[in-house]
Amino acid sequence: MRCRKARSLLSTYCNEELTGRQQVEVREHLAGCAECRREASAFQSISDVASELSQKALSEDFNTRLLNRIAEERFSETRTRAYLPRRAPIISWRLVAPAVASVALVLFAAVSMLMPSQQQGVLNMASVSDRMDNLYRTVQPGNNPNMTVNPQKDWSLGKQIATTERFSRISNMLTDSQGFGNMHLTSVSNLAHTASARIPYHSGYFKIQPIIRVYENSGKNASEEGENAY
Amino acid sequence: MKAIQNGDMVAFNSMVNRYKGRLMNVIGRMLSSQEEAEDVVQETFVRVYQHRQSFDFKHCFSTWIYTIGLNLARNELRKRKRFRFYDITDMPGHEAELSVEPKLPSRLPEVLNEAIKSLPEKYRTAFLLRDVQEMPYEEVAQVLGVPLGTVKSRVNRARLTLREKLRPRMEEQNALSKSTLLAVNIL
Repeated sequence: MRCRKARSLLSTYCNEELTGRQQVEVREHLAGCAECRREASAFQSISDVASELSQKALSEDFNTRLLNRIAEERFSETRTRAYLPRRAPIISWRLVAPAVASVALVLFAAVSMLMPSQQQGVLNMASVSDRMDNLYRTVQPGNNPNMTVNPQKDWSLGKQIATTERFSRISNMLTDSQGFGNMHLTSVSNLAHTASARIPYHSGYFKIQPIIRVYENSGKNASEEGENAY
Repeated sequence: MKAIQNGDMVAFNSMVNRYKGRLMNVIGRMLSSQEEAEDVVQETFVRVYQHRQSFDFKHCFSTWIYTIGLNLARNELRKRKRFRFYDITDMPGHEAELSVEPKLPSRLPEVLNEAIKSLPEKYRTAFLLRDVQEMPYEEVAQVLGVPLGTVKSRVNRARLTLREKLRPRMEEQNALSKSTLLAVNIL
């Protein structure tokens, strides 16, 4: 074995990590080479000193400080467990799904049975104005003491506006001779006020006062215009 | 470990006494500061306590605790690299505090300690675990999380580097011992 090869194996040889044929070859080489013996001696010294290196000293209160930290850790663990709420029960959807489905079916059946008129309304495809008018119907009180005439079933705001306009025109024709084309921006509440003798509803009774701006007559049919304006 | 998992603090205390020296031996030589090394060793035991329930009995406990300790030490080294720490004695105006000249290491253990500190981190760790702590190669491989061949290669490289660093010092000592012997022979 050459010196170069032997020196590459010296560190493992000195730490007794070489086995078999390589160990024998290195030993034989060292027997005949002084330089490699010096190198082997150096490696052996380093190995001996490394294994006997003094232990690094710890401070005297090391154990005390550590146990204090562990005690704090134990306290925080206990406290957390005490204040944590119980785990919520895990919902198994396999068990709950049939119950949820049956409740949903019952609700759907109940809703469909209780509201047939709404279905009809959908089928009848009421006009936009009638739908909007129905909202005002809910505003009207059921038992208006001022009501002398029963509300018509096909009452709509557009028709009411048209009626009011007709009355207004008629009254204007009677009061001044300017006729059509003299309708200025006004409000239904004012119209209602002027035709209060004919309109059975007391305007102050309702909390919600519908304000509809009626623009100048452009020659169209008054009722159509009233609906379009709305 | 079973007793520690059941909350036996006597068992935990005996485990601390068994491993604190070994851990300090390795971590104290990875970090330069004694206080930092003690903090890291303490933190290692605290982590062992915090995660005691997650310990897998298929693995060796010493491997587990060394892995935790070395990871914490590496984190500390990375932190030191990010924030450069300056010793107050390096700052101007503190020369008067240095009344005693620093003692040069003369004996081989001190020289070896200094040489180990100058090794690159991965070689240093492998050398400390294998040659200083005398752990088997397989255990060192598990702790470091590298193959067995890599561990052997790193340990060998560390030994060769230490030999080169200590060569002048050892030759000096050899020369000194030869001259002393010659003087004695003459006398």
